[in-house]
Amino acid sequence: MKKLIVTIVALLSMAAFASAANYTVNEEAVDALIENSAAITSVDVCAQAVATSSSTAVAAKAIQPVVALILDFFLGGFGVHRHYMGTSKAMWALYTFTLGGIFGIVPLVDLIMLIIGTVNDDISRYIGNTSFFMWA
Amino acid sequence: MDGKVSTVTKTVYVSSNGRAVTVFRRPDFYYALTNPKGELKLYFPSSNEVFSRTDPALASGEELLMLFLLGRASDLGLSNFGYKGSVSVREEGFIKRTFTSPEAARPTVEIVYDNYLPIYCCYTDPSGRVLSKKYFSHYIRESRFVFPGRVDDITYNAHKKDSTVVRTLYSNLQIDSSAPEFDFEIPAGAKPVQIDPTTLK
Repeated sequence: MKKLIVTIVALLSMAAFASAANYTVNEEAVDALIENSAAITSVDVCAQAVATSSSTAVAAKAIQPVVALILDFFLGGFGVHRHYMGTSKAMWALYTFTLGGIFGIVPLVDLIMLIIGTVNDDISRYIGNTSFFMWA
Repeated sequence: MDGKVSTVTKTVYVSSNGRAVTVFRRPDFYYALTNPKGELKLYFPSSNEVFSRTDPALASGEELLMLFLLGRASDLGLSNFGYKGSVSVREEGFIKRTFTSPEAARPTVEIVYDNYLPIYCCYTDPSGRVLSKKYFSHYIRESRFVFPGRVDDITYNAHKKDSTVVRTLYSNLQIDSSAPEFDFEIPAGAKPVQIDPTTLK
């Protein structure tokens, strides 16, 4: 029952984010969504991503571009996709510090570059990339 | 659909010389020091480690607080990344400007203003799909400048028909404070974090 209520609130929130005035947000919907979500820590998420990439590096696995894309979609603001592809230890802190990569610009451009790389079947330049701007 | 939430708590100390000290308290405790040159140092007291990086994008001037302090909030710092703004147009009683980058792969940005203050910012990819929207509200007015007390950031995930919402609430804005954090320095014995991308291959 609780799950159903949370789902309804989340769905209503998603639909109601933009109020009649297109340039203001429905604050009550955003607050309700956050209040009804399960708490995690960004460190936990990044730790899992780093552990995954470390454990598979020994087997010389190929980084999955689609996985990197999905991680960027969900958690790009924390730089999780960068840790999956391999980067410096503190990259998550950089993304968080810059408010999700300079107001979200960096993970958005990361996403576009990953899409282009996936289409061209080559994201090698982003793997193990320690630059904040991985496409530079 | 189960929502997940992560809370980050930080305090930002900005000096008139452009030096910024950000103290992150949740979920992890660490310091971030930046300056106008883009020299960034992240110091983790728990492990006494320091991570250093120099990048113009990390300059203290790109911090939201600094943008408003320096009166550069009109384009939210986009001009520093090569973006050019269009002529202003009036829409629904607001002013709207569109910013484009000379690099075709970068998103187009629309900023909407109310009384010359940004209230809305929208990123659109080259195909026209909305990538994210940001809303600035609850402006705090001090004698020398104004600053949004709340920023709501919604990033859209087309594949999963889901989104990520970031709500940032600013409070306790103080001017001419004498907090010791303004002068925080990383201990001399802090261990530099080594970066070795070869271990990830």
